[in-house]
Amino acid sequence: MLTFHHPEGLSLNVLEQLSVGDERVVSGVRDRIRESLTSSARHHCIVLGPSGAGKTHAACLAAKQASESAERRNSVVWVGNSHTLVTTVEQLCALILSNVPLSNGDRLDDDELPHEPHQQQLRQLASRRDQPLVVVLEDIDRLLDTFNQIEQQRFRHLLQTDSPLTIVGTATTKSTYLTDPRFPFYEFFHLASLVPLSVEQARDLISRRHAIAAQFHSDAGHAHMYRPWSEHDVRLASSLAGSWPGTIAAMAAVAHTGAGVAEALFAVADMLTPQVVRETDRLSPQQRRVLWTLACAGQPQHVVGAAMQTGAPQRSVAKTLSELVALGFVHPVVSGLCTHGDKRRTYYEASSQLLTLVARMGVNGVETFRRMASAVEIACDISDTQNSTIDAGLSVLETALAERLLDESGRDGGGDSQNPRAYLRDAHIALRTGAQDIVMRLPTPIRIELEAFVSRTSV
Amino acid sequence: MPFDELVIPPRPGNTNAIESFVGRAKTTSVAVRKLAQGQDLLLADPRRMGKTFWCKHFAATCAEFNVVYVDFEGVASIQDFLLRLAGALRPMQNMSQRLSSAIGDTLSLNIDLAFGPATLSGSLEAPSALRMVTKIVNTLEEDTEKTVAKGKSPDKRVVICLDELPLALLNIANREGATVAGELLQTLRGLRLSTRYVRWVLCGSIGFHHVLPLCEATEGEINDLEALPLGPLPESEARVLAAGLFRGIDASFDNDSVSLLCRLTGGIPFLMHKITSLMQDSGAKVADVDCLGSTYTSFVQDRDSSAAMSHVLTRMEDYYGTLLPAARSILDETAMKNSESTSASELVQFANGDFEQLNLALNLLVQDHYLLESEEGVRWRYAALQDIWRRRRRLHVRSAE
Repeated sequence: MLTFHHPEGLSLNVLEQLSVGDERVVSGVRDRIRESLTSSARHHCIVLGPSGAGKTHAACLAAKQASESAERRNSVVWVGNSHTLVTTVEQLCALILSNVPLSNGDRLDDDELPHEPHQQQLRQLASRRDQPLVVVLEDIDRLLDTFNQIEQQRFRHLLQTDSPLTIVGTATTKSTYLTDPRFPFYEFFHLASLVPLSVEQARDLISRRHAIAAQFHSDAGHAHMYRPWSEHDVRLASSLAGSWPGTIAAMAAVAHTGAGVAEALFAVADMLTPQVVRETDRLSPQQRRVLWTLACAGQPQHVVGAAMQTGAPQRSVAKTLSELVALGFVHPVVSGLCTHGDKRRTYYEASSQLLTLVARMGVNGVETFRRMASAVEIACDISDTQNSTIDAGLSVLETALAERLLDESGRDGGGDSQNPRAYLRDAHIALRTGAQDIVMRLPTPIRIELEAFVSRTSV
Repeated sequence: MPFDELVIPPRPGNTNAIESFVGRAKTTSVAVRKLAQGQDLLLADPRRMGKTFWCKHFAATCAEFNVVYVDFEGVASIQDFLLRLAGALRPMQNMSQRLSSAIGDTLSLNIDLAFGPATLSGSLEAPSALRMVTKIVNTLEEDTEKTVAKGKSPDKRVVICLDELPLALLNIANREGATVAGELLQTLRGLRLSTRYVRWVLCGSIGFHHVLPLCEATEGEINDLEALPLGPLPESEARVLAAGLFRGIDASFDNDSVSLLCRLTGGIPFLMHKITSLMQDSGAKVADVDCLGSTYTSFVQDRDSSAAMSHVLTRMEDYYGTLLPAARSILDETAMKNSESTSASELVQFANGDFEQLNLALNLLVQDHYLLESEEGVRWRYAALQDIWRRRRRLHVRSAE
């Protein structure tokens, strides 16, 4: 099953077949690499996005397309994230050299070469080939983290003065080293940010992955495994877990078993946990605690609420929140649903829907999540309704409350705050009154669907 | 390719192809004239003005001299300095045996020889490294003198462009001590004064006036250098770049859009690249007044993308010390005026009425090229930076209040 693939090992053809999303991100990177391969320019790029956004895929695709179109085959060097123990530019150069696909004319075993510093060897190699090496470096932000200020300056010198390299990196966040003018790499790289897929793109991706997987399992017995997902399922999955290719593809891989979206999400959350946790491993314990609190809540929190839940002083939580905002893990919530409330109060939520999914699944289990999924499903119905008036939205909610959300025994779930009815009652009040405290009580996926609906009504 | 057909893809930030270099004709001709007269030069414009690109272009295209470009970024010791210099000189053609072996000896210091479990690294103490710098430059001087005297080809003098020298001095001062950094400055000054056939261009985005005190040196160490101002592109050259950039993003344009881009960016090449790059990202195909205006406004309002031009704030935080509040207030006050100057008497209130403090702050702001001084007072040097500063500091809100 093609769930998580290693793009570096795939042919250009397969990479292209699996490529869905904003073509401009890849073409922007590809054009820059091609320019570097065919002129004295040296452009270095970083593809940005959370785990599962398809960064490595985009980086590999751009690098391979560029070297193919510039007719400079054998120029792509895959380093991936094997630079974990690298702390100096010389070590990095040695690592790159050890990964260079050698051509006949490279003669790395020349008598003179092994004694030269690795940086010099790289320069000689690139000069013999009369082209730079296109180096794909995963998690380049981590690499910059391990370099001290002088090594960062040396790395920049290597990249900008007769550089033997053109770098295509990936990073999950814009680290301080890229955004703070006090550091050498400030404004140095071309940053290409990936965006989540639309529902159509997500469906397209699933179909393409299924088509490729079917080529590997062409016997009829496996054909049923690759049936396309319904638009409804994709929509729901995107709303709950974020519409990033990695998540969508992982869910599609699970859903063939006949599991519902909630079960598929549960399985995926389990699968993606190490990836999500790894993203946060550079945060301080306090930053991690606050982020985890926001993710577990699954709905926006203000400083006072977050402080109460973490048990830390408000001032310290406020400081941590602004650090997390700067690092891209958290964002302040501005909702078009709110018409009144305390405008001075800022609410925050975790930026990664995947992190929220993992946290909530871990804390609440699949049953609670399934209940929320059914409420989100109704919110999606409202968002998709043709009649774009608030009354139409309220009417969908009222019908659901009256008919669709009774539990198996015909009861409405009583006072359980995580019952779909409770979510929908809040949604109804939020839509009707626009009260800030109710809006911010809604689980994020429901709020986002309602916001999409309200923005259409305003148009 | 003729200028009116240039196609330049916008690439803010990275090293662009030499072929896409536009303009600076006057700067280049002044540089050639001064260097031919034996004058060494100092290029000290603010960041993002295109100093490094000019140096690289000068090195690649100058017909009058053999220009050697050396980037000292990441140099943290005198030995690093020596190795970087020797490495840059190594590719020079028609080198004498003496120079070649001096460079070879130097570069051999950078080789780690492994003998079983032990590794032997070459290293030099700072005084020996400085002697090696002197030896290499003096040999280069003698070589060049001989070739020029014999009329041999190439009968050109040598120009060494030392880029990011202040940054290297700062690193050396931090790692090896202020005295060592000061000795390097003195050695370089000695070499500039003693050589006739080797000329020098010093370059760096950190002003020397910030670095000299940290090297226990004074302005005297660089007072033999003549400033070579770069600044924004003159309008005629900015128009060529603007048209090339519009072609680079495949957008239709006319004279008005070219004029507007030049006006909005004040002819600062980085800004011109940045604005057209943002237009390309948004998929714009027509470079009309509306599109340019909205792209510029969103660029200035987006703190991430316009941070590049507001680096003055951070530079000030690093180097202005206790003068920071006064310097900020002076910039605020002067940014509010369009093109008229502000007199010292109007500004003294921002230095708590202390003219001495005001002078110190004004000196730094003028030396850092943010302000321009005249008899009437001071004003912002670059209108585009002034506009960005005004917006980023939300000065229009303050004035409305």
